[in-house]
Amino acid sequence: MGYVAVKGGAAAIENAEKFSLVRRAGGASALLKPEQIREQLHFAVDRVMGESSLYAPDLAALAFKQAAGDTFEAAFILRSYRTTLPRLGYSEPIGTDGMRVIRRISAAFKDIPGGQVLGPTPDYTLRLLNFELQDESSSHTRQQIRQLLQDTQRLDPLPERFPKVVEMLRREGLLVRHRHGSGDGDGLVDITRQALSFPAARSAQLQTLARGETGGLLALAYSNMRGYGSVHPVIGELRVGFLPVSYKNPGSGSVECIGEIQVTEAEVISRIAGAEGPAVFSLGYGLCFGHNETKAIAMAVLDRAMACEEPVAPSEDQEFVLTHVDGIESMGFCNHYKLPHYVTFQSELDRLRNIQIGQRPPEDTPS
Amino acid sequence: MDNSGRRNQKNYRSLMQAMSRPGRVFRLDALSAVSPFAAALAIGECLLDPEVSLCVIGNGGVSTLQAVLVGATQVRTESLETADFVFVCSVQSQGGVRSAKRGRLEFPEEGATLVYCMNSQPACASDRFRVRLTGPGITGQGGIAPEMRGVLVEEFQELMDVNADYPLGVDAFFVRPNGEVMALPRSTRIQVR
Repeated sequence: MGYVAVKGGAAAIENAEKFSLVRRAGGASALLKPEQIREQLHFAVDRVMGESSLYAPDLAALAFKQAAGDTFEAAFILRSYRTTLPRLGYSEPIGTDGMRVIRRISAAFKDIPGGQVLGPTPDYTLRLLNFELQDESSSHTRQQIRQLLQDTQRLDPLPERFPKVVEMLRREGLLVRHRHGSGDGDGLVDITRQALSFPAARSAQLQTLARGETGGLLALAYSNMRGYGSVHPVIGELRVGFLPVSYKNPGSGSVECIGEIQVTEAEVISRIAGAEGPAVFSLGYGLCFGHNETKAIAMAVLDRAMACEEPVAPSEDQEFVLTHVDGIESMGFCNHYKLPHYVTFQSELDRLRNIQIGQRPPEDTPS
Repeated sequence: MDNSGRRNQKNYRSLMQAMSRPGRVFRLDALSAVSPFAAALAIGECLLDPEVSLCVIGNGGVSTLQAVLVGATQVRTESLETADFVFVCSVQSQGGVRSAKRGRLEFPEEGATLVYCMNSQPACASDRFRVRLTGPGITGQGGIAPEMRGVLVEEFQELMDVNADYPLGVDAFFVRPNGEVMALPRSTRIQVR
């Protein structure tokens, strides 16, 4: 079998890109505006921001439009854009107890200081198709929103700060400190500047999980929850809200608030199985950009799972988890198989044919 | 996004194009005509920030260019041996390219990026046709001659030597004040006749 040249096809490649445009915008409906995506498909926008690790709602909406709704591609586009940006500085550490909460629940305690705030969620609705949305009346929907906002004006305003639920356990000495990996140093590790190495510091672990692909995190966390692991999580607290971002002005030295970001934070509690000494709980932590509760909970479960002393299940193995949860890496690897493998496959084919006709491959034949 | 941000995005894409098509000349956008280092600054604004390090070497204007780049990007300055980016205020690095970082086999991306800040007009007749470039991004097995005039053959030889142990090596841009830019990534094979 001779060499198969990989040549030509440039015009076909250019046309393939053009046909993608037809697929996205060739229909009869009005073209989507990024602001519509940002406002009305906010879960998708949040997911793209989280997986690309760039908090930029407008650009995430644009990437989602460009990718025609493919969150992998959209995150890829936005993360590529992120790499072109200069890094101007670092924000101050943020305490999440200062979150401007829009939703806050605990599955561990019914009565929590500050109370449970259900906020915006489809959790308590039936998953039935709402055919009224097919011909949604703008005026009717806006009237519903106006009415809801009027009704809520009569309610007491939410407190500015909610105490952390897990602090109650910590005060009682029921929470053990997180076991730090041997990769932990004095400072924080930034995986966008230093290649991930193992054992990874917890900061690297949390960063990798925070920009992990939601489905990938969920699959691994679910395997642990179902029994391929030892975490039996209870959600101590789940919060969705806005955090102020503060930056120390290099000129004046004063700390200034430069904006806010929406995040979802999950703290899961799990008893340490077979621990020596008094029985205690351990905490798993999850935090991601935007409103993405599934991701935050899955992240917290995996964070807790990887804290075990002797990993047995895949979801407890730090290297296994952290090298497989990045959506852009895994999607890229999966899709690279679409690229021409003509030469390698022809070689494999030759070898197989030689074996089948009872001949040893030429390169194995002794000279 | 402001105008400066848009220009940087456009120029970043031009630099990517230049890296994808070694030896070809591309043009940077919307340069200030006032500063002789405007084109170098345009590259700096795309690639430099406080997270990376810079060393400026050359014959003249070294301190001016360094001040311009540091002022615009807050890039750190380091020695030639450790800098991530080396700006050469000349058509020739005077052997400086040999001292630049080439990376490690485990982390070849640690190799430095060189930016040669060329003159407006080549001072001497170009002997670029003595140079053949082949490799990824260059059509044809025969290769091409570098499109940009005025790069000294000796400098091509220097780059050929430091990139001999690919993937270790350096990546280079050549930029003129009018915004013309040509790239020679370390994957490009250089032959000098």
